[in-house]
Formats: sequence, C-alpha cells, structure tokens
Amino acid sequence: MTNHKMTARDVSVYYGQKRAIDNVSIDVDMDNVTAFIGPSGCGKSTFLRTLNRMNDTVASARVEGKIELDGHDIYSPDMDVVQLRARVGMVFQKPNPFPKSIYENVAYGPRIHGLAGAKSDLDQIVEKSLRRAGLWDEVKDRLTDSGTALSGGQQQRLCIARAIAVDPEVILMDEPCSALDPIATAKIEELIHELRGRYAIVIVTHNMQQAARVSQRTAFFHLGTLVEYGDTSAIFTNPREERTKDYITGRYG
Amino acid sequence: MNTHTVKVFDDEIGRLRGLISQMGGLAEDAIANAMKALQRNDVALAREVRAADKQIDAIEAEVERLAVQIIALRAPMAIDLREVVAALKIAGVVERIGDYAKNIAKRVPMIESEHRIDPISILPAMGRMASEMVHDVLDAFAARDFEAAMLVVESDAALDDFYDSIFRTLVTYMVENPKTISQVAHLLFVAKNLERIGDHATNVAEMVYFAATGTQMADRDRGGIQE
Repeated sequence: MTNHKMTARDVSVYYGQKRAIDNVSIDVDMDNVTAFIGPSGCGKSTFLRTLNRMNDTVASARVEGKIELDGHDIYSPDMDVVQLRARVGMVFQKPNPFPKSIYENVAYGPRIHGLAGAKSDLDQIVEKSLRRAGLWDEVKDRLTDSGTALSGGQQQRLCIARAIAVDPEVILMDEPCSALDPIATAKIEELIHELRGRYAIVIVTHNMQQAARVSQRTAFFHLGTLVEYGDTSAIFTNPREERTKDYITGRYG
Repeated sequence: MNTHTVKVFDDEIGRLRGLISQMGGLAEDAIANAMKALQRNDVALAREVRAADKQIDAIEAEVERLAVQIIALRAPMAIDLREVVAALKIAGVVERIGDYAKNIAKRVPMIESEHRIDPISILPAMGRMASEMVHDVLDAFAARDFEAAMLVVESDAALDDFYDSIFRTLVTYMVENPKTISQVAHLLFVAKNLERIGDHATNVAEMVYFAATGTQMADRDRGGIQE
C-alpha cells in the first residue's frame, strides 16, 4: 500500500525572476527515507525548504503548484505555519543548538507548543527525545550544561532531539552530516535508520554514498528539474536517465 | 561514454578491461594450441600450453586485486560498478576456460600415437568453435555490445550439437573396437571440455549483457550450464 505523507504537484519556485525549481512533482512516503541528490545549485535544498515553507522567510521567493501534507494544502491561507513547522521539522547542515542548556534545547519546542503541562511531562519528553536521538546516555548527567559545549556530532543529535521533541510527522534534513566526522556521521546514519517508519524522513545530501546507505527512495535534481525519482537500489545500480548515470558515476560536468 | 571527472578512475577501468582482453587472448591461444598439440601429437606444444596457464592465473589475480582496489577507493556506481563486478566474475570464468584447455593438453601424451582414430581430426573444428565463442564474448565485453553477447548465447546450441554428434561417434568406436577405449575415453573428455568452454562463454555473455544493460538476459535467451 502506498502511504504518501506529502505530495508535491507541479511545484515551481522563483527567486525574483529566476526560476529555481521547475515543475517538480514528487511523493514522500511514511515508510521510506527519501534522499535528494544533485550538484550544487540544482534546487534540491530549495525544494526541501518548500516542504515546510522555510522559503517564506526569503522575501523574493515565490512558490507555485501544490504541496499537500496528509491531503491538506500547506500553502492554503488557513494553514498555521508555526504548526506546520512543528509537524514538518528540520535539521540543518551546521548543528545550531540554542545557546542554552541541553535540557532547554529540547524542552523549548514542547513548551512553546504547549505539549507539556507539568514539569514531569516535560522531563519525560526531554528524555524520550534524547533517547530517540541516541544522545541520552552521553548527556543524562549533564543536562544543565550548555548545548554548545557538546561535540559537533552530539550537537547535531541534539538538534535532531529538538526536532523530535515536538512530535513531528516529517523530518527534513539538509546535509545533516556535512560538518561531521565519519564516526559522528555513522551515528546520524544509524539514527536515521532507527527513526525510519516513525517519521517520514527526507534528506538532502552531497554525499552519494550516504544517500545510497540511508535512503530507500532517491530523487536526482538537476538545473531545477527532477530528472529521476525511484528506488535507491535502482538509481545507484541501473539509473534510467543519462544525466543520472553521468552524475552518480562521477562523469558530470 | 563521457569521461570521469577524476581521470585516473578512467585509467583504472581501462586497465581492468585491458587485463580481461589479455586474459581472453591467452585463453584462446591455449585452446588453439591444445587442439593443435592433440592433432599433431605434439607433446612439447602441450607442455607449453600447461606452462602458459600460469600466466592466465597471474592475470586473474591481478584483476582481482585491481577490482577490489577500485571498489574500495572509487566506490563505483551504476555501469562502473556493473563493469567492475563483471570483470571480477569474467576473470574467474576465463581462468576456468584456461584450465579446460590445460586439461586437454595434459591428455596429449596419454593418447597413444599408433592407431589414432578419425575423430581426432574433427575435434579441432569443435575447438575452433569453442575458441570463437570465447573470442566473440570478450569482444562483446570490450565493446559493451549486449547484442553480440546474445549471439554468443545462441551459438552455444551448435556447439552442444557438435558435442552430441562426436559423443555418438566415439561411443560407436568403443563398441566396434574395444582396443580404442582408452584413447576414446580421453577424446570424450576433450570433447566434453570444449563443450564446457562453450557453457562458460555463455555465462560470460550473460555477465556482459548485465554489465551493459543493467538487466538480466531474458530466460529464453539463456544457455546456462548443461550437465
């Protein structure tokens, strides 16, 4: 059974006059990790950011087409953007914890969204989120330390815990490992594997090996268009499109 | 096909393909020389075939080393990955083909030179047919030509027919004149070896097809191993 969490239809994105995304249609499944790959400037990050309306913060950006979350148009006027971003969380390239304690980094979201009444509820959410992010055992004895005092890999897992804390349905990751060493990267990849199924996960990565390792579906973007979208194993062993072949075998440009 | 951004990657793939061609050439020579030795009862030539087999083994080892190095260092994808894996498997098969030729050569001194029977004169034709399959299938690999690979698969049926016919002829010899039994037994193995070489060439054709297209050859086109 197909289980489309998000569907995009004929989506184009403009920055001023420049069209950055041209007529992209794609489905994101609940059960799969979806990877977006493509050379710099191909539009994969731009497209990722349309999925929780992060482009709203760019004054010149304009989005055409339709993007639905569980069948609801996320660009319709009655969509609460704050609520949307709680349901569709995001993890960025550089770990960006708040300059607050580890505990507060995770507790902040649930508190402003009113997800926790009592302190004990909040404690529970913080622990559960840190556990799911695979960070609990490393930080449980120093929850009051600043989040920025953690290592890069730990900071990124803290950011994932922060995203998880508001109980999202979709997690968008924009190059979550590009600033991390191989061991921290492996931990994030293992985490993505564990989170699969619980959340729909979309990851943008320049590292094709990573896309091959963590995802079940891969979309290849080039010059603002979606060139090919299919099962990761097929994309990396036998892609249909010439441009995909050239890109993944290192013959591009 | 476009070149890789990292040029040395192209060099390595080119070298890998070169080694397979070289191995294939040696295997063809081995078949031809073994059959020539058999036909002329040339024990010295037979010995050369056995010595030359060491070269085939050495190239196989080099293919393995290079393929593993490419996989480890270049993380090949798509057609590159399929080609490297195909090269690795083809090297193993060509090595076996060399062993079959060596086995034919080993039998040359064991066949008595007196009273040689007729089929010895038609076996070289079968040898040429098997050798051609090896030649054609490695050409197909070099050219990434899946259609040429399919032709090799088709030609295996003719080799099988040739084998069946020689088999029947040889059995007739044994029935008619038991003195020929030990000689014919060797010739049966020679024919069987050639038939097996054809089967292996057919398997290589399937690997070439997969490397070139990314899909398995359809079942009806597959020769496979005949027991």
